[in-house]
Amino acid sequence: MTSVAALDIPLHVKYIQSLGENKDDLVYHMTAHLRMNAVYWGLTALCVMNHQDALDREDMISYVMSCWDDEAGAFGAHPDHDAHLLSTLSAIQILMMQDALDRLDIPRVVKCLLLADILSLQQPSGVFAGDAFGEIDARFLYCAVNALSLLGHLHELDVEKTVGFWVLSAMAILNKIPWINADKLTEFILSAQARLSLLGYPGLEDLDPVYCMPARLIESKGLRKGWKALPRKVLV
Amino acid sequence: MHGVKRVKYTREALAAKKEREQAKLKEYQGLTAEVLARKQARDTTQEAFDLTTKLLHINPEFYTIWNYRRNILSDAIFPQRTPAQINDLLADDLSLTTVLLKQHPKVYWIWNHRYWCLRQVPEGPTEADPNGWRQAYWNKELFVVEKMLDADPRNFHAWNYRRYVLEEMPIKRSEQSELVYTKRKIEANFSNFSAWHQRSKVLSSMWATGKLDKTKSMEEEFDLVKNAMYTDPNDQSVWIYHRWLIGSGDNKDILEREIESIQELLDEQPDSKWCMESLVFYKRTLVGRHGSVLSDEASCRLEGECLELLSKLEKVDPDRRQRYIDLSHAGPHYLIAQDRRSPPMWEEVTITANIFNTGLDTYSTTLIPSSQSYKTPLVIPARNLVAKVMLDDQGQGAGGVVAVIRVVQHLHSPALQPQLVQDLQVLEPQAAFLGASVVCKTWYAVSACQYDAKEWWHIRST
Repeated sequence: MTSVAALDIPLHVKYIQSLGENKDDLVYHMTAHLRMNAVYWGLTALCVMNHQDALDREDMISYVMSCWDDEAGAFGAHPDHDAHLLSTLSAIQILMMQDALDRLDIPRVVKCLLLADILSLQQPSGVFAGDAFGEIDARFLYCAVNALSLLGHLHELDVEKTVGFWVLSAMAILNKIPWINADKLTEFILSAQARLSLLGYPGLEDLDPVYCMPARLIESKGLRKGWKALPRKVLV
Repeated sequence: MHGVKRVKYTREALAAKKEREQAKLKEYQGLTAEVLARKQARDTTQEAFDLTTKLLHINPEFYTIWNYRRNILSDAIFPQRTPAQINDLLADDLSLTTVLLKQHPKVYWIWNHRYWCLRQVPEGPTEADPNGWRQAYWNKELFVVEKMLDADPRNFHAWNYRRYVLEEMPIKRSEQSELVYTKRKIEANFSNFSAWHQRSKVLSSMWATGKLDKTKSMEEEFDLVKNAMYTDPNDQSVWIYHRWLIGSGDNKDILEREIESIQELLDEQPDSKWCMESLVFYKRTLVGRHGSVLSDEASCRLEGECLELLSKLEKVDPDRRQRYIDLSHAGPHYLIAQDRRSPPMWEEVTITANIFNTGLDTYSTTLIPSSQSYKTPLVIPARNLVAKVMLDDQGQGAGGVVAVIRVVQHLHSPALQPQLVQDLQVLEPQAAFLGASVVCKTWYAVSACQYDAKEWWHIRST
């Protein structure tokens, strides 16, 4: 990269902070079913930008815990929303990034979430259903594998049946990140820190493309796969 | 919808919008609170049901409310109704989703509810005609989903749903009519992955059951796809379909004819990326599948042409430059051994692998002797060491490569050759790719082979 267009980190941090403050906005409420995922993405972006403390840790953890659906034994996307695989993965990721997995009743999570729910949601075809009504989508495979792996229960999965993939993750795992034209993609997605981080943008922390969480954290848990980010560039 | 621009609002318009929103917001919050409170209290009255209708009209993405609605229906309402009444209720719910899908054609939760409704249709109207209601619904569903595909021919939700409806129809629709349908969609716009995909599914089934003469029908498909290739050689969906037709490349005549035909197109369109990319793929397939009947010279010439094409691709498609460089340097070098032939064994080992996400049926290729003066110094010692790569059992590209093995120059050493044969023999095709991790049960055998460990990336000893 000859010259790097600037990523305005303070502005991005401010934007992420502001997302939780638009409570008089209709869209804010209409998208409550995406809230848990939004919190996860916001936090991940902050971690990549080295501003993890820009959102209050305690508030975030209590929010996550308030989304626990005790009947199902998993997390909903918002308080009083039903449990779903999508929000459950995000919740586990958030708690892990906040080093707060101890707030969970781990035996309950393992028992209810993994054994009772996720594994029984795996269909004969190898795909995963997202909830009790059997919504089926390739995304759920990723969620289930990721959640099981984070909680150290990956071995309970029927590997033979499991296929599925997402592109950048795949590239990372295949060690083919160099196949991506980094300069062009960087230009194109200057606002997407997750990918910028893999493509060598200066000043950002590595993001683990397999778990979509800060690389350092994943490494400390011994979960790192063999991917390699492009060399970190220097701002000119 | 594709190609619809996002509207930009001025500051004044935004302020006015905000004003209007406040009233809506209040109503929405009140309604949400009430419905969720009723849900908590396990209220399954008609009143609660009607409130879910109201709320879902405002926010059809609120999945919890869809769940609640289904619970009210199946726990409280259905048990008290006759099958005919249930049937009517389902008609209402299907109409609700139709209305919502018109505004939100790509909201998963609405489609989910539609699937659910169809699964609830009771038997009837009479014992003598238990599928009457179902068939009536299914006919209507096909009509509705085709309308949606007229509005947006590439809405994959609608295509998936259509496939589901066709599969589950009590009285099957003829596959022939499905061929006509996909052809109509394709001819309206070649660039439609969903339509090509559906066509490949129908044809596979008709060939397997003998409803169509495969050889003849395949020729018609080659004509159709050639027409599309010439119309728009830059459209990827067409090339993917072509690769599906070629399949594993077992038919040498077809393979050679298609190579020639693509070459002609390339002569007319000298910068066509897909022409070049496909030529590389098919030429390597030709050598891989039919290397034994080609002269060494012909095989080497073909690989040489591939390398030339790859180097040109680096220039015309610089965004994927590194990929082309890798393809030319590494040469084909895939996977886990399964099967081998009689002596000279180590020269004719077939390596089988699961490679996902290629969108292809099967893929095969040959590894060129590294002694040749090509840009492949690290590639394989054995002549005609065949790598064969397959898709999952659905024939779908859906995942990642299981494992990649690069056999390096070490294998030139005669002492290691018997070792290779032995190791390949014990390998099972059981390496599985799981999200990020590879479970390779026979790692010990592979590692004994002195492959280039640096190229093994994520395969770990377990």
